[in-house]
This record gives sequence, structure tokens and C-alpha cells, in this order.
Amino acid sequence: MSFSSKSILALALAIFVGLLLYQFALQIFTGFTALIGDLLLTLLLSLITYYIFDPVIARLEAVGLSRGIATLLVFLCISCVIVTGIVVVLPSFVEELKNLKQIDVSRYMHETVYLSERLQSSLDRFLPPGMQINISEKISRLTSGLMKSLMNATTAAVPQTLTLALTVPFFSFFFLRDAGEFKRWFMDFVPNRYFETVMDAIYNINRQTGMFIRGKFLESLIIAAATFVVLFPSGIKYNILLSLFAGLCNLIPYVGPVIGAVPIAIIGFADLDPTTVLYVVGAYFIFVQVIVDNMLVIPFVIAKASDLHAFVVLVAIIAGGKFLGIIGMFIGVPVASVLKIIFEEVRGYLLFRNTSPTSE
Amino acid sequence: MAETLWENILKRREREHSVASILKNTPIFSDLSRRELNIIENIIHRRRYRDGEIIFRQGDPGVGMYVIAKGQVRIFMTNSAGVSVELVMLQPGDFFGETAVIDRGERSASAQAVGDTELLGFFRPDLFDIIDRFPRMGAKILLKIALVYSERLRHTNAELMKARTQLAELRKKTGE
Repeated sequence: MSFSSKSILALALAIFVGLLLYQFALQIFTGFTALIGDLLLTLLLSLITYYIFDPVIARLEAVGLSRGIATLLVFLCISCVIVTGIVVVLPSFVEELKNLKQIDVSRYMHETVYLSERLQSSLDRFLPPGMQINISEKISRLTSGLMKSLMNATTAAVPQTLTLALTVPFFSFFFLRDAGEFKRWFMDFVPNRYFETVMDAIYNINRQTGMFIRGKFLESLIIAAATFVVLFPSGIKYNILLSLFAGLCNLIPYVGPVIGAVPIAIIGFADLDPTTVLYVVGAYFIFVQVIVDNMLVIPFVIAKASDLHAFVVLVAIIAGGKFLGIIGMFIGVPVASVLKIIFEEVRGYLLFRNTSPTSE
Repeated sequence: MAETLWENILKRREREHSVASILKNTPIFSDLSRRELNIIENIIHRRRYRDGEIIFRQGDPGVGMYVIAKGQVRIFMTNSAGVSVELVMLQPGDFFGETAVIDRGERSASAQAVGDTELLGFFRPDLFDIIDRFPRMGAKILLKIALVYSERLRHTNAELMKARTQLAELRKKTGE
């Protein structure tokens, strides 16, 4: 079988055009997903803000303020807190971050490598010669990789954070002020046949989502405060940063509390004596995680309906990280919990419709 | 252009006035002030139904009540043999389904639009929202709903007494 030069040329041209089109489509798709990702993140964070502050605005309405004025008042208060934070806390916070990035990170990395080497030598003593694994090298490679990507991500997150700092308050303000209008506008599109069911489902989903988000927010704040109480007496460096990180990690079930403890242990071993570190880490797990979180906070503030399977948690973290970056990794699990609440509610209605004797 | 704008504004005002007057004449909202009625106007849902369209079915989970702004509504029950019995034909200004505002039970009867019908829907989530945001108004509405219930109960008791007396007389006549 022979090809004429014309057909070869046509084939080459077709491949070239195909590749060009592919590249073009890829560019558009990448831009589109980035745009959708940013918009989605803005919407999600604005919705979280809405759920946290809606009851406060309802209380202000109950004392006679109009919704617009109540929303404005809440935003003024938040702005005051943020401005005070920027003026009072931010300079020392930035200084701490600078120190962390320039001086201490390499020290903490060496400490991690040193700790992993000690772990390696203890493991070597226990494991038979054929089954020995080189954990130390793996951890060392993982740590340097993680630190590099964390530093890159933090630098890359600055413009994103600035954009979010402008867009989220803007969206949240309108969500809070016009939530009723949005709901009524949406309900106008629902056909008469499904109107009551949708109305009730939205109410239940809204109520449960609100309770869950406020519960998680409160839980994170309490965990951060309790961690600070544990860390402060030890004199560990960056105690505010570590406490905030532990509070944030608590949004992730199962592994979150452990991830929150890792930097405490690393910084602790680098700067304090090992006995103090063991006390601090022990107190973090027993006092903060078991007593405060599991015995006091979870039974009272978190809805059982939002419990997720470990596999779903993992998928939510990966998907959140993939589509929405570092912030997505933290809000991926709460978003999955809210989706579960919606799914359970819709399933309940469908089951009711199917078992109802008069349903068509 | 300007005329149309004014016409639209005037029409909207007229419509709002008519909604407010319909609500004011509904026993559940009759105690509310002008300001409170304005709030309710911004909460209720206006729904339009074609002739013959089902509003809700017997056995559906009930979520709220409706006030008829325009048209008529046929309330009927379907027995186990599938035969429908008309209970009442409701007119503009009448309201129905108020039990569902409080109790999340099944609808005891079906409702169907007769002619092109416009309804003002007030639902349990709306009531909870009002209780949260305007507790005084919520208390007024709840009290009125309780009054409607107690009136219905009194009426049902009287009917029951009448039926019992008739049954006793019947038994006396037949010598049971």
C-alpha cells in the first residue's frame, strides 16, 4: 500500500490542525475550570459566611432593625474586628511568618529528618533483616517535597486570597441582605406540582446545613482556643499559628487531629526538651481532642446526619484540593457533608412519595 | 414610555393593596398592623393555577395554607374505592390547608383549581422564619391559628353532640 505525497500532506495537515484545536480546547478548558473554580470557591465561602451570620441578623431584626440595616451593622462590626486585627496583630504575624519562612523552616526540616532517622534506627532493631524499609529516606524526600510545594502554594495563594478578601464580603453581604428575595425568585421557577415538596426540602436542608456549618465553625474556634491553652504554658514558638492550624485541621475528620499535631511535634522537638513535647502532644490529644472535642463539643454542636465514611472524606479532600486549592482541602469535607444532608433529604422525600398510598 | 412606567407602578401598588386587603380579611392575619402585613406580603408566595390543576393531593405531606386571591378551589376526598366526594367549593378570600402550617401530617383532602386561579401561599418554613425574625408577629399569627383551631373544635364538638343525640333517639325508636 502506497501513499501519495498529497495524502501524506493532508494527513500531516489534519494532525497539525487537530493538535492546534486540541491545544486551543485545552487552553479554553483550563481557563474555564480556573474561572469556575474561583467562582465556586467565592460562592462557597460566601455561603459559609451567610450561614454563620444569618442568625445574628435574625436576632437584630427581632429587636426591630430592618434586614438591610442589620446586615450593614454586622458587616461594620466584622470590618472593625478585621481592621483591629490588621493594625494590632498583622505586623507581628507577618514577622512570625517571615521568620518561619527564612530561618526556622530549614531547622524544622532538619529536625524532621533527624526524627525520621531515629525512627528508622528503632525500626531496624525490631524488623528482621529481609523486611527492613527505608522510612528515613522516604520521609526526608516527602518533607522536602511537601515544604517546597507548601511554600509555592503559599506564595501562589496570596493573589487568590486578596481576590477572595474582596469578593467574599461583597457576595456575603448580598446573600445576607437578600436571601429571602433569592429564595422567592428561585421558588417562582418551581412547577406547582413540586412546589410544596421543594419548599419544605429547601427549608430542612437550609436548617441542617446552617446548624452543621455553625457547629463546625464553633468547633474549630473552640479547638483552636483549647490548643492555645495547652501550648501557651510550654512556651512553644508560633503558638497562635499552631493553634489556628489545629482548629482548621479539625474540619477534616479522622486524620485532621493528627495532621494538626504534626507541626506541634516537629517545632516542639526542635525547640523544647523531649519530655515537654510529649506532655504537650499528650495534652493536645487527651485534653483537646478527647475531652473538649469528643466529649463536650461534638455531642452538643455537630449533627450526626453529617457523618461521612472515611473513603468519602478522602475523596472530598482530594477533590477539594484538586479543584479549589489549599482552601478547598479544608472546605471539601464540610461541602461533602452538606451534599450528604441534601442527598438524605431528597431521598426521604422520594421514599415518602413512593410509599404514599395516594401518590401517582 | 413615562406613562407606561407610571401605569406599571400604579398597577403594582394596586396589586399590593389588593394583596394586603385579602390578607387583612384572612382571620389568621387580621390582627396584623400595616407594617406587619407588608412583611407578610414580602414572604408569601403568589402561585397561579390553570383550570382543573391539582393544588395538592390527599395523602401528600402538608406544608402550608393558601388564601384564594382569584378563582375558586374545589376541596374533595377520594375514598378507598376511588370515588371522589366534593366537600366544599371555596371562593376568593377563603383560605384552606391551615392545619399543615403547624402539623407536618398528610393532607386529609385534595384541592383543585376551578377556573384560572391565583393563590397566596403561606407555609410552615415562612412561619418559622417569622417566629425567628419577628417574634411578636409570630405570636399574633400563632394565636390566630389557635383560635381557628378552637373554633373548629367547638364546631366539631357541637356536631358530635348532635350526631350522638340523633343516634340515641334512633336507638330509642328502633328499641335497641
